[in-house]
Amino acid sequence: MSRKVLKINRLKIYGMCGIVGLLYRKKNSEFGSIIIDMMQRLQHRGKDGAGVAIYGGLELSKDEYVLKVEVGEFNKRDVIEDILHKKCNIEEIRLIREGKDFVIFDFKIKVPDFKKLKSLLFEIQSLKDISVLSAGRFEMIKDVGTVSFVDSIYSISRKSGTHGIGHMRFSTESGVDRYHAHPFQSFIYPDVTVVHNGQITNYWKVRNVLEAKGHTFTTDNDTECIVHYIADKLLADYKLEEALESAVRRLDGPFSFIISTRNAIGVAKDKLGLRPALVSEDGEVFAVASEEVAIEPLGLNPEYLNPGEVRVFER
Amino acid sequence: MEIDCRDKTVREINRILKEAAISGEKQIILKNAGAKHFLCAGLQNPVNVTVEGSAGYFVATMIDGARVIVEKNAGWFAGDNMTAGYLEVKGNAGDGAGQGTYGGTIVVRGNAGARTGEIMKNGTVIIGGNSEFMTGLYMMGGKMIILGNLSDMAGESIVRGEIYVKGDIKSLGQNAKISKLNKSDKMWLKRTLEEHNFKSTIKKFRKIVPEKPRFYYAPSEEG
Repeated sequence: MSRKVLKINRLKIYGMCGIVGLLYRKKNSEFGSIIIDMMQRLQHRGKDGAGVAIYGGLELSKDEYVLKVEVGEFNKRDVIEDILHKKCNIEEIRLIREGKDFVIFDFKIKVPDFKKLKSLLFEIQSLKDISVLSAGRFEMIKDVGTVSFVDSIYSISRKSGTHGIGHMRFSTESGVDRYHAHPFQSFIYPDVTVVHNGQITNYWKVRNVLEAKGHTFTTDNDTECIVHYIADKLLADYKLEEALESAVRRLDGPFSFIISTRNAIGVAKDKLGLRPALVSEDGEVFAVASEEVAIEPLGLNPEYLNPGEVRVFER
Repeated sequence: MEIDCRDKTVREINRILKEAAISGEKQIILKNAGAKHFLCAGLQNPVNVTVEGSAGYFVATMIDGARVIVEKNAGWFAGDNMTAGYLEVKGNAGDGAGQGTYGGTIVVRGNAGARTGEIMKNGTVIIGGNSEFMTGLYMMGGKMIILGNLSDMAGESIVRGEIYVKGDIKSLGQNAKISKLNKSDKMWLKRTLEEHNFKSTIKKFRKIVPEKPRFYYAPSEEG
């Protein structure tokens, strides 16, 4: 057996992260508490970080977007404000979290379209000591620590929404910090996020091709290549289901991942079925999780995904 | 307080344990443990539990602050995923002792099976005897002390953490290398062995550490 095959086989043993996804046909005022409960039930799968992407909970008009930005010090907010003032209307600025050497702000802005937002966020991203954590018409919250800890800081369980995804991280080789926690967003296409359990063993091959197309990676986490890959396909007019099927063919290694877009949730499982994923639905609610214990309170019957299977649920 | 485990399911035993711990009980003895699996799982209070006899698989899994003593042997995955606390196995432990621990201390007075401390993140695992195949597999943090010998492929795919070994090392795994102890290593080792009543000198010890911090995902691996 070659060295490379041996390595891949070893990697198959691990990847304990927990993933969940939840979609309601109508807005649910208890969405945050339901997804947090699902996540807490999978806390044993990883305690290095926790995060959610929640859609449909923000009260935004047609051309409003939220930029979540981390800066090294409080007064760097002015630098971002200057840039934004020149190119768009700032509707609201909210202080989200202040730490010893960082501050996180939400900027609610008005721009005509995602293309404009994209150029703005890349401009901000290029500044020293400033990181765009998320941008779009949804809310992404992620940080280091357990589900309870992250919820206690960001009050996720008080949020409403229509659909979203959640993650409990068990890190392997990349850093344990806010940037490497899941979900990951791609700025290639509007409002695409991913949570992932497993390893992408041809990560560099996938990344090199995407970078050659001009897509920007901000971390060295293998999950980031999944969300860019899917976003790249959506940009090329693939349907979400087709994009997921393409990812299953292209990505190597053991994985299950959940993608969320503005109107749908999709789940994919690797060709050999080496990471767990189950789905459950009753017409009004769709849930996906790593383990059955996460969906038990919803009272739905679980259906385990087959190797290489993908599922998409739309609102 | 004593709990007679005979004729009780593990779920019942753990429920009684948790309720007693929450109500402030400080010392609990599990009588007739009968090597049942999952004993003391998820105990979050600073309670002392003594398991009379042997424990089965996953004893003290996911504990966060409890102190558990197993008077005989433990099955696979003793102390799996623990966050804080203490687990002591007075006899031998099966495979995967200390798997995925985030903190706390695990002491096995006898020998341990294969893959001891696999994917552990933090905390300390001490094995009084030998430890078998692939000890420290894909270890990602924390420290292990092995007073006996290590079997084949020790430290396989280790990316962070340290394995202190007194006895022989049959073979090293990928990404593992042997390093000498520095002054602070020696001080920590001496203090830790004394703290846990191991009468051993530190003279013969060396440690296994990772060759590279990013083994699978370094650009050169797949680029």
